[in-house]
Amino acid sequence: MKITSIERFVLETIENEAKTFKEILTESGLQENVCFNTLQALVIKNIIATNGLHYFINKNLPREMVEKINSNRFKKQESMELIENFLNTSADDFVITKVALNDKDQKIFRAMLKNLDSFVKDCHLKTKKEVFYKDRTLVFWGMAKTENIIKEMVG
Amino acid sequence: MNTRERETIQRYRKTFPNDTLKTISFKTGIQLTRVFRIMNGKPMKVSELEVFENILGQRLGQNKRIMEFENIVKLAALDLTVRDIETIISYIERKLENNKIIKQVVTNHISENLIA
Repeated sequence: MKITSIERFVLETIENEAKTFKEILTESGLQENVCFNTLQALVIKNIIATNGLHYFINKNLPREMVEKINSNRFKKQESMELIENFLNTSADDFVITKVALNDKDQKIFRAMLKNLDSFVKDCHLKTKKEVFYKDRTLVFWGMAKTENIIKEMVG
Repeated sequence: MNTRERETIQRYRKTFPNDTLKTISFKTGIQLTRVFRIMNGKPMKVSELEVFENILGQRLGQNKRIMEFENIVKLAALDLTVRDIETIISYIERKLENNKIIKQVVTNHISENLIA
């Protein structure tokens, strides 16, 4: 069982709470009918449940189902989709570069990324109740050896 | 209505046989009553003719791209690795799934009035 990126948006909007349609609509930033159709699809898939007024994530989802939904394969596909749409909307803000880093610089850079990771996680925990899902900032980072990328591309 | 206008309308009807007057009005931005008159042989304004011809031109462009797409899929099936093909399939499936949700929005709001 896989979920679409739009379904993921809705699930992440609901998170561990019970939310009304209006709340999900406002917080997700989706168009009304897209939000409605997505909620219906998630209810049919039994991933979310509703008591008529509130929607909430089904706590009784089988473990295998949760693992499948959150599998690396699907997360990779969603990530590619997010980055594609990031490039379609904010290409000027995208930085990707092949940098010459010696071992020492690599260690420093990894430490900086770790700090960035902690900072971002702390910010998220601190302000997630105040910031609507649609107003969250999409950030991504990573590093890899160019050789490995080339090997992957060329085979 | 002159020959060019008549031919344009005929090509339009051939290309979009199921378009209702309301749909044509929506697509062209021309008022419904005016669309009715045009479809029944009234001469068009230059701007109206241009709108119809632009829509037909875009559709022709789309058809070319669809043929390119079909050709490239055949090549891909012969040339690419299974893994690459799976990646492409996943990509297209996701696009289709998203499109389904979004298109359900559009079709729910267009009410159909059939051309007589």
